[in-house]
Amino acid sequence: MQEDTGLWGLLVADLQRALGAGPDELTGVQEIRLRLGQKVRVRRADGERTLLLEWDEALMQAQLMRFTENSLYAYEEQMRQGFVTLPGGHRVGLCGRAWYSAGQMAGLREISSMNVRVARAVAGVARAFWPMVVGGGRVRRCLIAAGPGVGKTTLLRDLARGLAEGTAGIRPQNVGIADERQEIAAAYMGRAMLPVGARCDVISGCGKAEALVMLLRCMAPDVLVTDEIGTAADACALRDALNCGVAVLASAHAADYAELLGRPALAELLLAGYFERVILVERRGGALLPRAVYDENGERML
Amino acid sequence: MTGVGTISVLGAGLVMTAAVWAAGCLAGALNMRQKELASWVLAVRLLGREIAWGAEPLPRLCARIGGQVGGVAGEFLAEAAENGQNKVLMLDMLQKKAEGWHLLAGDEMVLAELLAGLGQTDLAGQKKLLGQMEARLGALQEESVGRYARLARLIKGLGWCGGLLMVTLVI
Repeated sequence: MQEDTGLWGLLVADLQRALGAGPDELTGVQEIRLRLGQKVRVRRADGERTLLLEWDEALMQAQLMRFTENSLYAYEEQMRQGFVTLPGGHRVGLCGRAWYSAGQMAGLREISSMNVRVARAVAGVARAFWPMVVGGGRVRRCLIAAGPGVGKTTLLRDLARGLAEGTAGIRPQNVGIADERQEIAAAYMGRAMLPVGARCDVISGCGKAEALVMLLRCMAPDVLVTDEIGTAADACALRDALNCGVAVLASAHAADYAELLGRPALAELLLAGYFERVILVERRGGALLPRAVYDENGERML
Repeated sequence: MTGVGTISVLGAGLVMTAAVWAAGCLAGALNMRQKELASWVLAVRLLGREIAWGAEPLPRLCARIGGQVGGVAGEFLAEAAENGQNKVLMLDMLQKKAEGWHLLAGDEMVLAELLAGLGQTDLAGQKKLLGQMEARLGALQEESVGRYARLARLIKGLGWCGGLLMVTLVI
């Protein structure tokens, strides 16, 4: 798969030289790790490669300004959450020294590491999950759980796309996506950079709880999709949605069902039977597969 | 009138014309400076207001404001937007463009300070910077208006004096 040249154009010249001849060098790249005082590391599916380029403060500053269109203030809110979304849906995770204003974290200064995660939409990863997500001609209320980096967001995106495009075996659905961290649709300038389907409405950069309420009130969705739920406010908004007869697809970080129950906000929803299916996901040989499925009573089905 | 008298009248006339012409050139330059500063003040004021609303990245913001403002600041911002608002490129551009402008070294210094700080900080920092720059450019503009008015009075005075001198010499 050939990458778009957008990301290549955003890299500083030194990094471009270290990577190689041109945009094709980004083919298959999953992550570029840039850490102060360390060599640049590039991760592909087949392993990690260390480049000769040592990353210094000047490069870090120049790269940060490139990623933020020379407008740090415009990315302030995203940086406060530790990331910057780039055109093309690529995402840059940031680490540095946090600073506080009026008792609240106001942002990151002295950026020490960046992780450039190359966005790649993988169509068809949801194939194995349709029997669990769709049943009786409707979409079930599902919680998708897995550890970090397994592909929960990729799966959610493909599920949303399938439902919105009508390829899920039921009539096409109006899908509302609450994309707080701009990972599902990777909206940039108001346009989804990753394919989420023709009948999708996306609210991005806004707290999940607020976004879910707005979608419910204004967009009349058939299905709501949201990522990484975990707080009491998220759970409360989800409960509202679930009580409105809207199907919900949500994801959460957890390696198994017991970990989900260990999180109070989620446990409340699970024990009340709000989710008809809890699907634990694993990656096997590059494919996403259901590892375990639980019903609304917490009984393991698979 | 004798030959010597004619030469005196012509000489005085030439001197007066040269003085008025030089003062006129200076007044023209001052007038241009005044307009250029006014264009920058307006641009900075708009940047300050718009930057607080929606936190739009500079290249897009400047392209939009450049189209609204016009004048040297508008042209500069539109061109800077095409260059992606890179600080180094903008400072280079300022140096080159300023040769064709009528700004003084002090005015250019303020602009260089503005361009060096644009986009480099968070929203609060940007608002503070733009507020300060608007105030400083505004003060420079006021000073240029005062200077232009004084020069205009001088030229008017010179014109009257020249006219009276010519009349006296001719009589």
